[in-house]
Amino acid sequence: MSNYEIKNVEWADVVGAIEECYSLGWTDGLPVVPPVQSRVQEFIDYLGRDPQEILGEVPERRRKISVLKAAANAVMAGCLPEYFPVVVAATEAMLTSDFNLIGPSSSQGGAGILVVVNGPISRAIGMNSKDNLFGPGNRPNATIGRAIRLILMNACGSIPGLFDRTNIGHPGKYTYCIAENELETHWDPLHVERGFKKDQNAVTVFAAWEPRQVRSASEKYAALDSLIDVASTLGTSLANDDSVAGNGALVRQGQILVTIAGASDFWKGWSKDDVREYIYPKIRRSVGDLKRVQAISGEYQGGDDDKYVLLVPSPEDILIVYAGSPEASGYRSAVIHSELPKVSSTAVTTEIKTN
Amino acid sequence: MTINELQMHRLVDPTTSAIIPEFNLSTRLDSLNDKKVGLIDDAKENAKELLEEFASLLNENYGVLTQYYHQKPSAGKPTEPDIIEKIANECDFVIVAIGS
Repeated sequence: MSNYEIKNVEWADVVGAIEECYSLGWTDGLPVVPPVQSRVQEFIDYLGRDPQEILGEVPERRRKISVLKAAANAVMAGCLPEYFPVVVAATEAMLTSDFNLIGPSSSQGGAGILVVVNGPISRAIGMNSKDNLFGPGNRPNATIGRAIRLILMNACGSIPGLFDRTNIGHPGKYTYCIAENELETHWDPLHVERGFKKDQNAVTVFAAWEPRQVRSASEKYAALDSLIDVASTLGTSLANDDSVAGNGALVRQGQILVTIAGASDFWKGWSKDDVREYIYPKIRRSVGDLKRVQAISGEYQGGDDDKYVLLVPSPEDILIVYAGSPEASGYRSAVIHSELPKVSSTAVTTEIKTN
Repeated sequence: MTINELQMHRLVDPTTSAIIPEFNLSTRLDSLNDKKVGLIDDAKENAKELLEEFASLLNENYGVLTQYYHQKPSAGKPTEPDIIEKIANECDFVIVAIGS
């Protein structure tokens, strides 16, 4: 570790240590674990990769993100060394050109980077995939998601008010990480649907708005029709033509991710594809509705209320994750809209490499 | 209560800095007369209209020819390097419109 990457800092006690990190401008507003060299080294040793290896770049900001920088931020977020391979894989995924980090990390839309962890590692490190799915209380969920945000701020230049031009944002910008409940469903996990084997570990990153919780009766069609209604609402990132207007596209058409739970036999006889087949053609909005709120341009014309625009480009662009409480009274799911049209940013799934 | 003394600790800096490679600015144009322009439209509203108006005025007043027009698939997507190279090779100057 070269000296230019080290800062010599003085403190007398634990509070002083935390306050020094605030003074250095390294935090997300919450206290961090000071990234002392010995602790960062533990993370690097656990990963078994060269600390100077470059995980990816943000070319528009001329930033290169090394294993070392990822490790320092993972330490600060409160991760354990065994979570670090997940953080590294998520970092690699969000630095791919398909993800196009410059879009969601600077846009006024205010995306969080949702991280979905699949495979045995999610259980080995004790991730939560059930009750309180997006809520507090689980260390790996909380700290892996937070590490990604700290990497964005400290290493990728996504500094609020500088390159991060979010107008409103959402609490998932602090931390936004879940696992799939793979053992209590007959459904193929997300990473299997996206080309990996069941026993492989993989992480999916998705530049997304907040989870919109959906409450419905405990009946399949009631649950899906309610979910469809929330997904199709006006005012979302997809139900307008901003940033794609010149291309003749009627709306931004992007991906959505839905978390669906329920008791293990609730979806008996249904596959994830069956769910997609049912909801895909119904996630739409009429041209009349879109014009009335000026979400798309053009004068209202007779017949516009009978013309519909699909908000998701294809069934495969609906990512389904079986997660949340398996034992709810009533039925709960969540809809998460992509911040950007698919032509600008797509979900990316990458293998988590472990020693 | 004892007061702890300050001690030095070694922290790993979690931040990065921009690494800007050396570059040379293009030679400035002496005049716009009969030059070739490349136009980049960011796909936001009105970018196309703005560029068309500029192209028309430049042609009318200076004989500028629109050599290349590129519309991005979405404002959030950077222009592809091969398109930038093509514009750099074929055009004398470029105008980028940020619509709204």
